[in-house]
Amino acid sequence: MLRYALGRLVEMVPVLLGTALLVFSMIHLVPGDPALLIAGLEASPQTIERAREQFGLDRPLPVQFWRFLAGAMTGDLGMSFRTGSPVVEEIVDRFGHTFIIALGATLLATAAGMLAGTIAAVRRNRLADGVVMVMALVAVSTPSYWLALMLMLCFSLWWGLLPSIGVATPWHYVLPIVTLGAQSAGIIARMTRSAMLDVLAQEYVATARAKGVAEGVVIVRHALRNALVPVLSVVGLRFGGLLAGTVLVESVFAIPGLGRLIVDAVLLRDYPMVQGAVLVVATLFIVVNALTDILYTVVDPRVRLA
Amino acid sequence: MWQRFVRNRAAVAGGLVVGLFVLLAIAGPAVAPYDPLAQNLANNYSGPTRAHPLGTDDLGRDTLSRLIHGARISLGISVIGVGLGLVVGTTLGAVAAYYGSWTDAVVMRAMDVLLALPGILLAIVIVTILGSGVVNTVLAVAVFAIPTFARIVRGSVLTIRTLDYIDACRAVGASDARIFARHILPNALSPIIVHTTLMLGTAILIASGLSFLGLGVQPPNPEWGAMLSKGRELIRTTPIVAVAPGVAITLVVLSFSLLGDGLRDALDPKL
Repeated sequence: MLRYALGRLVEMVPVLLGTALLVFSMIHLVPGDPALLIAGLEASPQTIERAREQFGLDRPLPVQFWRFLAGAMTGDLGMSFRTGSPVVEEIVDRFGHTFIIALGATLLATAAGMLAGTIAAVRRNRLADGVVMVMALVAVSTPSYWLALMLMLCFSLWWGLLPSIGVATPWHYVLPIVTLGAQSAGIIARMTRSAMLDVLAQEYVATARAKGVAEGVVIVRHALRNALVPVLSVVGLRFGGLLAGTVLVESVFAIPGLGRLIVDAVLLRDYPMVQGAVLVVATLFIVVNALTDILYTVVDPRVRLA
Repeated sequence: MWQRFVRNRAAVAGGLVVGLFVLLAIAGPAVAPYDPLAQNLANNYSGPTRAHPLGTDDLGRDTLSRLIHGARISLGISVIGVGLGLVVGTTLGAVAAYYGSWTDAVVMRAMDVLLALPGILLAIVIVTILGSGVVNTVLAVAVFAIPTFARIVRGSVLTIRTLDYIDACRAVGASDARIFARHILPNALSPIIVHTTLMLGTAILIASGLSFLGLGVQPPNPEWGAMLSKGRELIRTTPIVAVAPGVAITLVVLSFSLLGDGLRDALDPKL
């Protein structure tokens, strides 16, 4: 297992480097002179030159990339064009809210999705199955920002049950978490149903039933436990999708999180901020995926040899 | 294959709805009751009425007409973007699988990097570099689509390449290009078709998401995501403007999903 884990972590490195390269080149791929972008279009030639020196844009590209990488690894992601303060500070400030929402959404989606999927599998081809699958399909097809708006409309504006904007109280996190979790819940429900159907057809389930084990115990102790494995890997992989999804959801609910930071930074052309924030999210995504793969081999010994 | 497909009623329904929207997209301007950009400040913030079944927005523009014209934009972006992604991705995947070793490693690592940025984040990166607007949104969708197509085609080609009849072709003297076009590609077709259909739906979600954030299609274009962005402003006064485009998006994406699932079931000989 350890060898697989190490191998997987090593595989991560070129992807991380490649991603860093992609993120780093963003500012250089934009048409125009980066120094001009920093200094502003009306700046004098001296200001532009000073900006060029200050941000190290006069060095050859490989040197710049090296400095970017070295900085990233020591926690220096550059200075915001807009505020002049370190990018890392803003990211750290905002990370908490995004993390709470993403984590909450993961937990909600997993619980709801697994419950729904199990019901659908157990009541296969009956009404409950159909209803659950349709709801799952709709959940996956609905744009998250629209769901956010609809939930806000119902729960905030019409019925006044939940707050809609900002993060003043824990209740403010409810709607964003539900919105973000919905799509993943649909995916997890479908996955759970599929995995459960596979497991329920196995011989050891028939044996357990023949032994006289109560149906509930059969479902939970024998079937669900074994169906858990592929479902958990989906959960792990979805985490990245959730991080990306916060971009849209935070916009609607005005949450001061990473997602909104990225969007605002793009709109304001604050390239170091975009680079820093995107790098953080991408790195998280890559690391979580690698950990999920490794965890998968821990939970299911049969996979190890692959 | 057709018979199997037709038996799946959900898939047929999906196909019909998709067809309906495509017709709407093509015939749009002729069908829409009003000019989507025409402002009528005397009649703004209107809820659903007989003259305006889906109400009007703050500038008095008819929502229904904007929705119909928006179908053309949203579907157009999706189709062209996914089409581009399909062509480039398939080429990359095929080349990687066929030539193997270094080419394969380099291409697939590049695809991994593109996949390392989840969905909308990748689209945001592309739009950051290229700027906003319809063309760049199409390109963002294309870049988003490329890696998955490359992976699928690579997988299919790797499987087929090892089959004996390919060796036979080579022995007879067929060129690489001919082997690929005549023998390998047709057999890799069914996963490509299924994936394309599903991608068309996802692409609409990505493109409308970008527009919603203000990074994609810009107002006053009635792209559905952009309409929802406006709808958000009007949510207290004229909620219908926030509801309608979302229903449209959900319906189209849902239909593409049903269609894609149906095609997958119909094309899979093992089921």
